[in-house]
Formats: sequence, structure tokens, C-alpha cells
Amino acid sequence: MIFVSVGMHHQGFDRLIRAMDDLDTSLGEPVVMQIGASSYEPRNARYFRFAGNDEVESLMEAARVVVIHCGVGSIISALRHRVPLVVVPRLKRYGEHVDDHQLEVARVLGESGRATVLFDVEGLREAIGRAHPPPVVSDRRRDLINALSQCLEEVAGKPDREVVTP
Amino acid sequence: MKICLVCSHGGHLTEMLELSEAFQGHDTFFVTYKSDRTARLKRSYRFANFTKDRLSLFSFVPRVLTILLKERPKVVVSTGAELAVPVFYLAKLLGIKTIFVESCCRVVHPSLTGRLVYPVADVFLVQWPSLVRSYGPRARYAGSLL
Repeated sequence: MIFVSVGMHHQGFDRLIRAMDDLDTSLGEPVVMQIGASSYEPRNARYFRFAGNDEVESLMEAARVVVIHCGVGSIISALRHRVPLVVVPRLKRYGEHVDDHQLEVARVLGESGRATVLFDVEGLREAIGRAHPPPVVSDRRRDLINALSQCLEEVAGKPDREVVTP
Repeated sequence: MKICLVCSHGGHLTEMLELSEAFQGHDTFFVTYKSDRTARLKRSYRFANFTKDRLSLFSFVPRVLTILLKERPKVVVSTGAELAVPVFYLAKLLGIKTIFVESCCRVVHPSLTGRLVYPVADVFLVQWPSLVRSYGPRARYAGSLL
């Protein structure tokens, strides 16, 4: 199964949804799409607009390949499941996002080999064929959590604890 | 301590949840948008999405002010997006400390939200070293979710 997800953003991503729907019948495996605010409604693929975390997570886990917009929620989830990943950045010029920051994320994901990056939906079939499980890269998440914990203590002053005198 | 967590309902919520270990042992509540994904958050104040319904911003501001006065959090933490802007300015007004964590989706160019809250945020963390220069001397790189 191929899972397509375009996240919770308030603008649609018709370019990707339409291209995947066109491919659906020739892929030889089912396609499930989370289409968000897109105005194109798939004719071939099974789809829904939005869902809770659990449903999206279980589809990510079950998928052979996921094809997603370059949004953080989708990327973090797909990388966690270590599922082969194709990312397609939303572009401002097509009214898919408010700016082109998804291009920047796409670039760093592509450079580290964690995703197959696609800028033009023409190449979808080939990109799906090429997608591979993401390699494990150094975990900088722990650093951020530690820094945030430390900042919380610093900005709030001393924690609210009773002073115990010896 | 009591911490107010501010984020919208998509990737920004995912980032906040990924950071949740940092809030362990603290009393937290969310200020977020109404959605399937936020329905199950334990303690949350959920609002209409004002990127879809601009007018709802006018009721958001007084309601958030009431919440901050009632809850009196010691710190407001946000991962974005735009709903952080009114909350950070209200927090500043009330003397509540603020921490902004720029989304890991911002690699080189700052977000509009980031630029608007940068002047008032007490702590400003970014997730890519390449972004520090775009903001200014108070921005700090400290690790990344990606």
C-alpha cells in the first residue's frame, strides 16, 4: 500500500493528489490518501481529508512507501517508522503554501539521503520505485530537549521547591 | 512549575509532542486550534483556526488574556505557528516569560511568526545552525528534531 499525506495545512495540494490519483490504477497496489484541504477529490484512490494521530500513524506503519508533502509532522512520523519516503515540497506559486520553505526542508532531507525528493510530480512513478528506507542519522533531538529543559529552569528562576535547612 | 504550551494542530503540535520530555514533572496546558488531533490533549484550550476564519482572531485575544490571568503560567512555550504571536505579546504584557522554538522546517529563511515574536521572546531557539544568522544575536541553535 502506498500512503499519501498532505498534512493539516489550510491550503490544498491538488498537484500531488491529482498526480497520485492518475497513477493509482497502474501501480498494482492500493493507494490511500489523506488529502487535507485539497479541492481535487480522487476518483480512483481511497481517501479521507483529516484524521486523528492514531489512524495516520497506523497507515504510515502499514505503508510500503509514503508520499508526503514536506511538512514537519509528516516527515517526523515517516522517519520514525523508517518507511521509504518520497517528499514533494508545496510551492507558493501554485497556492500550496504561504511561502517556499518546504523547498529548504526537502533539500536537507535529500542531502542526508533520508528521502527521495521530487519537485515535479511528473516523476512520481520513478521516485516511488527508487524510494528506500531512511538511514539512521545522528540524533540531535536529545540536545534540543536538554537545552529546552535548561532554558525552562533559567527563565523561570529557581524551581518552586521548599527550602530544606539541614 | 506551570507551563502554557502554544501550537497549531499540525506539524507544530507534532514538534511540541516530540519535545514533551522537557516538560515532564511540570504542570502543562495547551492553547491550540480545534481539530481531530487536538481533541485528545489532556488539558487544552482549543480555538477556531484564525487562518481560516480571520474574524475569530478578535475573540481569541480576549479569551487568551482571560486564560493567562486565570492560569498564571510561569512560562509560555511555543513551536508556532501564527497563534504564538498574540499569545507572546499578551504574555509580555503580563510579565510571563516566553520561549519560542522555531520549527525544524525552517532551515535558512525565518518564518513570519518567528520574526514577529523574536523581539519579545525571552529565549529563541532555532533547529538549524544556518538560521541563527537570519534572526540575530539572541537566536540560539541547540539541536534539532530532524
